[in-house]
This record gives sequence, structure tokens and C-alpha cells, in this order.
Amino acid sequence: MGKIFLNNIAEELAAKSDIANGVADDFLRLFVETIEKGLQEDGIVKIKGLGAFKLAEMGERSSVDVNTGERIVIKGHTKVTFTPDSAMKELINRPFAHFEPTELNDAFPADEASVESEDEAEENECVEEVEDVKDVKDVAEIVEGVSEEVVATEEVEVVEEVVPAVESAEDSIDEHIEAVAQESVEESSEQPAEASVVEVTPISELYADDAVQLPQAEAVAGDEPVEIEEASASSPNEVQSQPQAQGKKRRGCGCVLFILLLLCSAGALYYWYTLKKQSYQDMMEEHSDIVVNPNLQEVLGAEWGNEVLKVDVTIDSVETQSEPTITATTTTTTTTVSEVDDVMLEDLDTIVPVNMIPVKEVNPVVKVDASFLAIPKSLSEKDIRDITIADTTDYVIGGTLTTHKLKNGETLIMLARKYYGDKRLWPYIVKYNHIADFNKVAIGMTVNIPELHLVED
Amino acid sequence: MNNKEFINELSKQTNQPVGTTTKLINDTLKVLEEHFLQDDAVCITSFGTFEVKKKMERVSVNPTTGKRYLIPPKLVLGFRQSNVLKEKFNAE
Repeated sequence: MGKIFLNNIAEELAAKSDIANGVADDFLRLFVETIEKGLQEDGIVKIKGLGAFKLAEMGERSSVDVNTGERIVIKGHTKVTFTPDSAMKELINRPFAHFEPTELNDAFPADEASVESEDEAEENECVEEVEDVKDVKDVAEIVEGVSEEVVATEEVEVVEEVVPAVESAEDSIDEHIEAVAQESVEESSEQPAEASVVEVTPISELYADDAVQLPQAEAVAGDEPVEIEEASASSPNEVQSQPQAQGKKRRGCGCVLFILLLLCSAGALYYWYTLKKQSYQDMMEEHSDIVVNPNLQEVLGAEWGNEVLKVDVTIDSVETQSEPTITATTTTTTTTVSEVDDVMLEDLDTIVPVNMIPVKEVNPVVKVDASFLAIPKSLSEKDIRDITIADTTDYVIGGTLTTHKLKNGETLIMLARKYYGDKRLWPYIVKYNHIADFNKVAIGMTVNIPELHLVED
Repeated sequence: MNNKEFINELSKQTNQPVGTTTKLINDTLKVLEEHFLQDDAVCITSFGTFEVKKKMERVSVNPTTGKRYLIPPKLVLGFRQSNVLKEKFNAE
């Protein structure tokens, strides 16, 4: 590729046509002059085998000065244009002649996917993950046939769904235990996830072009969707360092492994749930002589709803002291659960207001939680009694503390919370006032609030 | 001015018979083609430059059907007039 001038052409023409150099030179000059003459006469010159020269009027247009950046106006002028004729066109385009326009499918993205920016890729991955989380829920619902609260994988959902679940009195304790347990399991399994993700990244960087390596590392990390999110969150960095084509292939591979992981986790959840349920049923059979008041269960259920919120608070402190050596299996999960519960107990002690009743009686519910999860078989009768709390076991009524006139919107539970600082003590109010149906109390009714004394063991 | 008129005019200018002129024109074009195929830019002083340019592939949409087509890359012979030629036609 170079620049050829008219004299070069003349030399070659002379050689080709067996004429003198000067003659060829003159001929070419006349050739060009004739074109100019023709243009001036007709405004158009057609040469077969080359193309057409034409005069074109260019309108006035505005532009920007390249050096100063000022806006300038380019005046209208005449321009000589050249259009190669078809023979010349085909000749020139011969190297690319075999190409033909192809219709593109609407599904297209083959090209765009490779061109798309890193951000878009990340977004897509996020969307995929969200969808997959939903999948987990679906699969779990089908396989386990359990109510939604149990399978809920996100904190918010758990909190939202646990509260309405109070209405289903019979199973509520069981379900809430499961919900809270799962909650804490998820939270605690985040610790090993984080720990192992740290291990994962260097490995996958070392084998950056090996598509299988990362998913394997994910498999080591454990079974919960939470940590998969985290692990794949680190993957865009690795994708960046790779050729885009490989990235695509790798993502496909990752998707398949991700789905496998989800199935595994669903299976593990199901197995774990049935195990828990079984142990709880066994325990209930052992202590079948203890009658649990359904209303108390309601109260407990409400308490559980609060409990979940408190768990969220305490988890942060647990995470900060998490041990990096944990490598996420079911056994470690149970241990961390009990850790979480311990911390939760401590925190609850400080959280619950201590005013009218002894601190000792504040957290039986939490005790239930810990004992149910950690040592379900070895529950003593004392622990079981703690579940039933409020009734006459722990307090005796000693005279009227004060009276209260019920206003619109007030409940006995609210009264119990107001005067005892513990809403679970409302049955004493019912008992003391000989209320027949505690679900129907009239507005304006005067309620005697009993004075309660703790029974010392 | 079409091809015939051009050849007649050129033969008159060169004082050569039309047949010879035609042959010379064809030879000239062949020489030019050889250079174009080698990606050479042919620069004719005070007239302009012939240059082969590569147009990249592109996606085109048929506005009526909405179908998308991938237009392949192609080589196109272009001409850029020299300033001398421009002034010649913009003098008046």
C-alpha cells in the first residue's frame, strides 16, 4: 500500500502499450484534462470501466474549527464526486465478494453479549440469582410441602410471615421454632460462607481460564443461597480478566452447577426439617401429659415474632466474632446455632425491660429456643413447664393492684404489658376478674389488675 | 458527456485515431485497477486521489419489516478532489 502518482502510471502504461514514456504521460494528462473539460461542459463524465464523475452542489453548512473550537460556516460549493461503475465496483470488492447480508434473529444477543459492558453482565447475574432464589422457594415448597414461613430464605420475609402465622394456633410453636431456627442457621452459615469465599478467590484467579474451578469452590462453600450470592459476586472480577467468549461458556457451566447446588440445598433443607420435626414430635410424645394452652401458644407465637426481630439485632455481633476456620457443614451449623442462641439470650436479658417482675422470669421463651435446637432429647420437665409459663405455676395473686377501665382498642394483653411489663401474664387478669370469654371484653368494663407475687421454688 | 463522447474528445485532443485512444484508455484502466487491488492510492496531481477504502460491517434495519440485517464489510473505490480542482469549479 503506497501512494502512486501519475508519472508512475505513465511508466507502466508505456510498458504495457509499447509507447514512449512521454507519449503515455501526455496521454494521461490529456485524459484528466478531458474529464475536467467534460465536467465543465456537461457536469458529468461517464467512463466505461471506471465510473462517473459528476459535479455536485454542496449546500452551506455549519462546522467547528478544529483548532479554535469556534463555530464556522462552510460556504456552499461545487464538488467533483466519483461513483465507480458496477464493473469496477465488483472488481474492487472481489476479496469480500463471498459475503452476503444475513438476516439476524430477534434473539440475537450473540454479538451483543460479547460486546456488553461489565455492568450489564453483573446486572444479569443478579437477576439470575434473584430468580434462582425464587426457584429455591418453589422447589422447597413442592418437596417439603411445608408452609411458606419455613422455606422463606430472606430475613424480611421471615419477619413478615411469622407475625400473621400466629393465627394458626396448633402448629405455631413448631413452625416458629423452625422459622427461627432456619433464620439463625442461615445467618450462621453466612460466616463459613464468608470465610470460604476468601479462600475461593485466590484459587479461581490462579486457574482463571479453568471454568470448572470456581463452581467447585462454591460447592466447598456450602449449601445456602446467601453465600452463593457472595461467591458469585466475586466472579465478575475474574470474568473481567478473561476473553469474553470463555466468559460466556463459563457462565453457562456456572449456571448448571448453580442449579445442581440449589437442588442439593433443597434436599438438605428437607432432610434437616424432617429430622427436626421428628425429634420434636418424639419429645412432645414423651411429655404428652403436659397440656399446652392454645392461647398461650398464641402469646408465644407473638413472642416468637418479636424474637425474630431481636435475632436480627444480635446476629451482627455474632458475625464479628465468627471463626474463619469453620467450613460449613450441618454439624458446624448446629453448633453455630447454639452460639447464636447464647448471644441472643445475653442480649435479651439486657433488652427486656426489668421493672415489675423479676429478671429471672423474663426469658423462658428463649430458653425453649435454645433447648429445642441444641438438646431436644434431653429436655427436663422444668424446661417444658417454662414453655407454658404464665399460668398459676410461678405467680400467686395477692390482692388488687389497681383497677383499669377498658377503652376502645385496648386488650388484656396490653394491660398485662402495661402493668407487669410482660404481656404473657394476661391470664392472671382473666382469672382474677372471672372473665368468661377473654376474647370478648366490653369497652368500658372495669378490670381489676391483680397484684402478683413470685412463687419461690 | 458519455463514454463515446469522451473517447471522441480525447482522440481529438491527442490527434490519435479513436481505436488507438480506446486501447490506451483500457490499458490505463487496467493499470489503475492493478494498483487499486494492491490497496494503492492513486494520486493525480491537480485533479484528485483515488483510494480504496474498507467499509466495516454493520447492522441495518429494514424500516418497513423491522428485520435486522448484518451487512458484510466491503471495499469501495473512493475519489477525493484536490484543492486545485475545487477552486477551478468554484472560481466563478
